Amino acid sequence: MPASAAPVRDPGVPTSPLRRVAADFFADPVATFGFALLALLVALALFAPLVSPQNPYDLAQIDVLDGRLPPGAAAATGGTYWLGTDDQGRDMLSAIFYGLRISLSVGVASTIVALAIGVVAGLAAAWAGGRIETLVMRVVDIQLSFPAILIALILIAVLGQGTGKVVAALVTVQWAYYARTVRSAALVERRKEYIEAARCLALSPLRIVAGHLLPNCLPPLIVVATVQVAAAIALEATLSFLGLGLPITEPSLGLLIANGYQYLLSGKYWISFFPGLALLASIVSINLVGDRLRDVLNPRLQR
Amino acid sequence: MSATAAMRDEPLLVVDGLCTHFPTRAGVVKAVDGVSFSLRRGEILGLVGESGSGKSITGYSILGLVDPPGRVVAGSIRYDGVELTTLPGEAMRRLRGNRISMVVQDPMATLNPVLRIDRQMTETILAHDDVGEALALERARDALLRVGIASPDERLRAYPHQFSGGMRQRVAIAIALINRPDLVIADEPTTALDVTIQGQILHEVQTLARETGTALVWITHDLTVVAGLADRVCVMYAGRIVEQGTTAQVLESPAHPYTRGLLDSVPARNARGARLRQIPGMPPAPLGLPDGCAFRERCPRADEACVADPPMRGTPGDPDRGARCHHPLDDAP
Amino acid sequence: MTAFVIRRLIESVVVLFAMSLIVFVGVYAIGNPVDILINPQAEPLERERAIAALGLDRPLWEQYVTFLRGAVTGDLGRSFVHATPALGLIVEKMPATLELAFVAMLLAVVLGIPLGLWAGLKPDALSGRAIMAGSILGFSLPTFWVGLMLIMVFSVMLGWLPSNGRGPTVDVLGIGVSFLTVDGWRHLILPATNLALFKLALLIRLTRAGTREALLQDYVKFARAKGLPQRRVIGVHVLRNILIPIVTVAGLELGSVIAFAIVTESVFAWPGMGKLLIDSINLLDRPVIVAYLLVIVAIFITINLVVDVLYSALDPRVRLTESRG
Ligand SMILES: Nc1ncnc2c1ncn2[C@@H]1O[C@H](COP(=O)(O)OP(=O)(O)O)[C@@H](O)[C@H]1O
Ligand code: SF4
Ligand SMILES: [Mg+2]
Repeated sequence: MPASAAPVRDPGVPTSPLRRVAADFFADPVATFGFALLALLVALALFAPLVSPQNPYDLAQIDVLDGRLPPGAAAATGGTYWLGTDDQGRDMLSAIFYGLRISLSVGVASTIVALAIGVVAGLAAAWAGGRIETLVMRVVDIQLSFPAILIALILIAVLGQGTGKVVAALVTVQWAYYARTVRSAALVERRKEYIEAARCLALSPLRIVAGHLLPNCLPPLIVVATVQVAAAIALEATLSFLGLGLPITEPSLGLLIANGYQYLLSGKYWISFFPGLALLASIVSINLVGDRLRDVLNPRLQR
Repeated sequence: MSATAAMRDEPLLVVDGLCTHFPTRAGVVKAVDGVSFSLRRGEILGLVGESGSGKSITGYSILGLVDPPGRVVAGSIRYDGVELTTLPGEAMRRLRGNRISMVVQDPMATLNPVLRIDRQMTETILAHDDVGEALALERARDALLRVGIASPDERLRAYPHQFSGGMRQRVAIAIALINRPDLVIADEPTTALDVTIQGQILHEVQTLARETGTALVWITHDLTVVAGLADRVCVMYAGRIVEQGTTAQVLESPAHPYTRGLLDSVPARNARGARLRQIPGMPPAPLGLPDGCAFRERCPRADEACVADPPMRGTPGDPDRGARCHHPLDDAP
Repeated sequence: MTAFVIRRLIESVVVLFAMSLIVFVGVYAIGNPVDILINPQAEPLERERAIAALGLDRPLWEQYVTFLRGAVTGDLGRSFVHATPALGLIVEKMPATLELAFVAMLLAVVLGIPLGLWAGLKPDALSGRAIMAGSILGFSLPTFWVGLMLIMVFSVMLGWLPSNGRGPTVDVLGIGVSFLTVDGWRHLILPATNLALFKLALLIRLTRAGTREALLQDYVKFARAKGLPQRRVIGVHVLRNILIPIVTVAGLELGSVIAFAIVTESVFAWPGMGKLLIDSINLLDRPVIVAYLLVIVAIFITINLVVDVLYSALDPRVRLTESRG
């Protein structure tokens, strides 16, 4: 992918940074495609109750007799199951829309919480220096040297199962990335003059950190956070597939795939296949957007 | 090779109207744009100019080593009667490192850090002459001795990081000379080194070139370097040769205002106490060359005439002496 | 060199000790073991007996000392479910996991380095771009779903390969292995491919980046200027330089492959220690979980140690500075 293809900007037109970033971003067709796909998926997730042919979790609307119908089959109530039905007779298309809703919200929610924790820890480390910095960064290093899946599984094993616990596990896995990103960005910024100037003006540390340091750490944070949302969604799906993630009352894409697993061997592929495609589309679109943001926001590539 | 006795009088290398361009997203960078010069056997040519003037790309063009997207788009390079710009890849490879060799700029980076010196030397021999490991090693040893490296046996078994910068460049020069080439292109080989080591290496290379009759193109941005080394000098500016002549002609009575400016900014040449005169302004951006004479915006003698491209004006009876200027300086300094 | 190895060994022991403490506190202290382990409907007297039998009535530090003493002697408690030593269970399943992980890593290296080299040499060609697009996809595809798709295509639709289990094994020095029989390979190939995919994408990216970087280096230019044939410039000068960091990363990633085998083993019902871990978590068989964690931490530490030592042996720059220091 021509990820490094940055357009030559017309230096004569002054624009706001946001518009400049947006213009750069959409100059790349692949990234634009990723963004459009992501926007579509988010819209489907947000408006799932409106766009779904049926409410797959309203027992009055589903018919077990319609169970495991292949894609394109006609429903007893009229209409078509475009992506087939699962063992309970649920319309897979509707289940996927609802599943997207859950998968995306868990991914985004855990990212926001982890972001908050990681930013505070990273800034604290960079600001305090000394022992605190060493301690925080040591923990970060050790944690990042183990695969996320392992750490998440340990936490689930210790904490037990449930939606809140899955989010807690995702947060624990992610915070270290933000802490490391913020600290290294903050270390660079810390040496720059404007921080010195702010210190000389005797601004309170909080104002310097929040008003000066944080905005400058933002570009790398945005990139890491984007990629981490995708990682969180994938990890939640994996945990749910292993039966250690969300409870059946929260049927995320991972659970839908797990549910279809047993039917896969008898050739009824659609129960696992289509939710998997939706999961893949979510992850790929987020990664494409993240890749492009990395190029657009990278100060070294800006001429 | 077509090196025949009848051709002995023809120069070893004739570069004529060479253009090497880099198409980039922002436009075509004309790194080398109409360079012509020639070189006789055993002759030492100094190629001088500010950084970015196209000296290295000229050297790489001769060896056929311009990195894509760069390409020789026009002109000819005749080496010993053979046209190099159209030479097939394998024939060009057999010339490289064998008849024509090159020493590239950074002594810390020219040698491969993870290969032993002996391998890096013998592979150069074996790529052209299948003499066997033992004989190749023997020759490598001699080559090290020739560039003044003591205890070569021990040195051969070492890795590059165990050498100082000056030693590494000596090894690189030894490699360039190992197959006794007719022509060596040395791209600022001493720029990164201490002045004393720079002097030693210059002296040794000069001696070696004279002894073996090897012709040398010595690329540098430093006029003082060519003063004691070169027979002739070409001065480059913005991808073109703006002045050429014997070393004495160019240094003692420069014709081009740019050469004059370069000379004036050399500390040792100025009378004590006199202020150094820097050339005003910056070298032109490779994509924003002005029309006409590229030096126009910095030149004290520029006038309306300079909006037209100045041709290279030869000197009657001396085709190797000339300057590309509408208002060349008088011979008087 | 010896001093270096000894220093790294001591470090490793310290990390292992610290990890044992964390694992212990995590698993034994945060959850309430009594509630989880003992049937709530059991008679009070029976509960007491069970608690005493499992040592859960002792103070926490005493439990840890017992645990540590056990750990040092290789006794990490008995499985609640299987009533056999937990460590024994893990060790019994380890060869299956290691075999899977090694084959996966081998696949990733054998395919990833040439593909990455190609993509690095031809970054603008269609082939180079296709390889890179494939590697982005490889990063995005969730491992478990790829596993399902492999089963769907190769087991269900085409019927070429079995979808689960390890097949018959051949004993080598008392350890069962699959790779010596055709049927063993038929069982091995799908899970190994599945597990290799992510690392393959990683190695392609690493190799491509390394190649592109190396091609810009002066020593490559100089190698060309010496008149070396292209195949030697790439095969010796470029490859030698990028191989050291790549092999190092591949070595370090082996630990993560072993950990990721948890997912692949679950999909393909591969009887390794990852699948045992998932089963143990589902059954709340804590001694087995603890044993797994300590074993995997020990594996990680060993791999890091071995790779560090190998790296310093491979790279002449490190090798010589270390031996002098
Ligand atoms: N790969 C490339 N792409 C675009 N422009 C290049 C490239 N390599 C060199 N140039 C341009 O060619 C010009 C001459 O470069 P070079 O020959 O290296 O200068 P010198 O050796 O005289 O310092 C410079 O303006 C440089 O920007
Ligand atoms: S042509 Fe004109 S501008 Fe160019 S160097 Fe000569 S006098 Fe100066
Ligand atoms: Mg140069």
